[in-house]
Amino acid sequence: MLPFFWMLSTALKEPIEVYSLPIRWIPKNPQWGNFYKAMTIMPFGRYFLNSIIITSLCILGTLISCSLAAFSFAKLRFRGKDLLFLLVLSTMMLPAHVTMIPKYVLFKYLKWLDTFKPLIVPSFFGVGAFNIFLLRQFFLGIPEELADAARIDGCSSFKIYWNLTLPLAKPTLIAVTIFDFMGTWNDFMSPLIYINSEKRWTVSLALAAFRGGEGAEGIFNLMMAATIIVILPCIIVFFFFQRYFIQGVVVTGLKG
Amino acid sequence: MSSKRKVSRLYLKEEREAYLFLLPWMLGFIFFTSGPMIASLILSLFEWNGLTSPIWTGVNNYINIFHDPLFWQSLKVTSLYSFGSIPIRILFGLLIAILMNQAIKGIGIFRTIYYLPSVVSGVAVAVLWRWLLNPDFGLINILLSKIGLQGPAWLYDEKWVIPAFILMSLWSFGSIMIVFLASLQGVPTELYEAAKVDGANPWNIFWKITIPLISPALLFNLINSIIGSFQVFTAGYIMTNGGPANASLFYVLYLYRNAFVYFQLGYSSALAYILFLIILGLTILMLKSSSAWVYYQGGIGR
Amino acid sequence: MRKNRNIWRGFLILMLLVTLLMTSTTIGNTKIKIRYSSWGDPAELELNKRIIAAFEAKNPDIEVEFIPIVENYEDKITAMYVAGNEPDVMYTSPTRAYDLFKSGLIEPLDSFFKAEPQWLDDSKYFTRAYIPYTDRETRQIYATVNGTNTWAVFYNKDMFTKAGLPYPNQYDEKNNWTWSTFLTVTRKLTKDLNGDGKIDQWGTQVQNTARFWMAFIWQNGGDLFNKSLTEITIDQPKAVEALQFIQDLVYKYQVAPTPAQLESIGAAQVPRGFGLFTNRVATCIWQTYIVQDAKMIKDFKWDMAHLPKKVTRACAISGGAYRISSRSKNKEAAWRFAKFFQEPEAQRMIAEAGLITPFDRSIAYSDIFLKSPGAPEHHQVRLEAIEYGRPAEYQHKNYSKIVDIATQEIDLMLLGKQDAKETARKIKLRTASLMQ
Repeated sequence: MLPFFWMLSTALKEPIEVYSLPIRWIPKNPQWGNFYKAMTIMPFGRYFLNSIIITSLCILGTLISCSLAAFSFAKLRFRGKDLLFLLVLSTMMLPAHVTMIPKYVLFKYLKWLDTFKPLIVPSFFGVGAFNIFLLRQFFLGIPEELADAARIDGCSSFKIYWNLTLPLAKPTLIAVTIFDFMGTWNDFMSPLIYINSEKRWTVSLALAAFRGGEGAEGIFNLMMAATIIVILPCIIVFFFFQRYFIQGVVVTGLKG
Repeated sequence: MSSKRKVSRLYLKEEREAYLFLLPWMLGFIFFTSGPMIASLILSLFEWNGLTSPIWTGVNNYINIFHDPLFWQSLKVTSLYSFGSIPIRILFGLLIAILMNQAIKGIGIFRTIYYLPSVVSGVAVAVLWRWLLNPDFGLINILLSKIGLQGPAWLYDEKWVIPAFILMSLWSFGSIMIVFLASLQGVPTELYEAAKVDGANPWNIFWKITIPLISPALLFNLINSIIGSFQVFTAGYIMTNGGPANASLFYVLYLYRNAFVYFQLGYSSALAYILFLIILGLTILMLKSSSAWVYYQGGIGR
Repeated sequence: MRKNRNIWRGFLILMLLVTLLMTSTTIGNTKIKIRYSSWGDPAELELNKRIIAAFEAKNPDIEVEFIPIVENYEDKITAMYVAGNEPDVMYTSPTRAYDLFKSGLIEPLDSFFKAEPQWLDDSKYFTRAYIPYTDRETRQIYATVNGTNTWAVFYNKDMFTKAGLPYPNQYDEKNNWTWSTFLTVTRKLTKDLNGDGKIDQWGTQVQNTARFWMAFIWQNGGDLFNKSLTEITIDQPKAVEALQFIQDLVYKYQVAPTPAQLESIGAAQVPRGFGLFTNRVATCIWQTYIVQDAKMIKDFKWDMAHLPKKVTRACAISGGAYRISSRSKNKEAAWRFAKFFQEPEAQRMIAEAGLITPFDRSIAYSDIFLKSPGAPEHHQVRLEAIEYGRPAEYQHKNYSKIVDIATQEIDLMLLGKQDAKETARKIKLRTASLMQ
């Protein structure tokens, strides 16, 4: 966990001190103001707002569309299931660089460029094969007895999904939330490609800006400060959600 | 007779519901994913620099790939990396997940600390690790020297650059750990209690109860790791850019270079599809073998 | 099924909300809109914004939409080209410019320059800045510029004083700053300070970038290509000799560290790997934009000098430029914006930012640039070098790949795995298919 301490100490240093060797752990003159400077060199407040909107909507969309799809693959019988599932997985197997340009053209024709739509809408349509796969694995682990009983009583699949499966899959849904949050919060490729105006930047883009260009790199310390602040929500989210991983969640309520 | 009709009607109803559930995903696939995927497949049959009109070349790109020594090099580099990092990460993630699966006070903090590395984004990680792997001042070599070993030049030594990346991959075990953790939550405690009552030792409990019950998560982590490690890019791009002497030329790095440095978009699409087939093949293998060792509590099977 | 329907309804409403939230309203106005893209770190982006504001103030009929692209600049621009919505004015570098120009996607600016010939007056401006952006066959210029960067020897004055050596500038004044005096000086400055058998202070530093090693080749009278760009000439004696000199600095004379040794003195952490910052490297041959960073140095005194010469003086020049899309619907407005960067108001802002030598001679020689706070004593070396600089980016269609191959081989050379002759031979061999 040393690297984090290094990040913190770098963030507090004066520009030239950053590069002195051997590594000085305690800055001579801690510049706590660096955190403030880092956040005001560009309008980070706005970027945080953007990131929060995008990320929360994405999580919502993912939870809904991916759990629906995963339920289908795990619990329902239908023709073409195996092939379709393979198709789902295959969407993860093509490197993103290759589909980047066609996707850009697609969004241009939809006139969704320079809006948040390309970043949010796809998640409502299950474009997150990783999550479908994850949820499917866990749904498969939920015993069928309860579902069978409910079905004989004439319950629709949806009722089973909503009232039975989802509550039991809480740990996994939590995991999906965490993953999706991290992924979307730190993703900078998609915002880079689809967003033009600075006012719609996400924090990940702004962070990337610190590295850009050939100009003065005397702001390495500010970059570290900004990185720390940007990571903070991730840490908070994780810490908050992992509470739901309580040990001994009893899955089976049946005694035979 | 009537029961048979009821069954088939139920089956059709179930099928209808299944497709309904899949509707959002299918729409997403059709509109957002399939188009670009097909477009890039078609692109692989052309020669295109993104500016002038594409020139038809048929399968020439694919033929040229097989004669391209850097293609084979990048495949070798990526395979070595994958087969090195996958087992290590999964093992490590599993071990830590087991440790974190306790309901003791403050476990939350530990979990957060162990997950923290995965939270830091690509560039910060790269900078961190360049320092850690510094031949003289880096922590790794300092620790090695304490036990009397001379650490290698890591990122500057052709033989050691891939092991360096494998070491770095350990850093991101966090997501693997979470998946295992969630899975461990689903293991009914009664089984453990019953086993203890029967006098089973911890080793047996681990192999006969825990592993089978978390095997769905294991399958997930395996397939996911395969898909992920064959596509590794950012670290290589930032830290070594394929060096020294192409010893760390990861496949997707080579692909990216062909697309956005040489501007040969058709060639890089072809590279992408070859990778696609490789990953697909490995995944199908995994899935097929899974019926032998993966146990789903739910019982409906694949 | 009823529950399903409710869920779908809620879903659609959610989608609608999302769409509404995201729809931006556009109020029609009568200004001409041009779109401009650039890369850069926060400081450069700020500079761009200020220049845009100044431009809009002087040209109230034009509105500039700024598209800052933080990374992977050409990736995004390529996507935009394919989709047909590339910006009107784009900040550019020479590497991709040639392909673009040949493809007809960049507007040639001849008619504009003909109407405003003052830009080509070398007594007023550093017109050599246009060279990377001039088609060598048709002589058409296809970009405006903001300034030039050259290369220089940056050195640690204190180390020289301690070793009792004259400064590189002093050698140069006597016309004696050559490869051999450079070698002499760096050998005296490479020391093992604490007697542990490992060198702690290095005479100089080498890097594997085309602009670095190309300069040495030129200084010796050699070249990568022949004049008509039909042949690779790096395997000819003069070029090989230059490459061998670079390798000898590391392995024969051991005045420059290997890549691994460079890491050890902490060059990984400093900006751009500029060893001078570590106070362990006596001289660094570097691009002059580093002056802005070097101003931070407080631990020792430093200065800059011309590159050592062999047969002749030579260095690479580069600089940012602004190209106009040939598909732009507002070329006149685009030109007004693109040339604004060359005008005094913008040039002054660029001079103050200190990131590049301004295009405008009078502003470059003025105090706001030449004598800006923290600037070195011989800052004007930067300007003088423009006269003998040339671009390292050749206008050959396979240039990127050729340079990439050369870099890979020189990588091996700097690792000590092969000598310069072998390196050049392999480069010639591997690039044969690209020269057809």
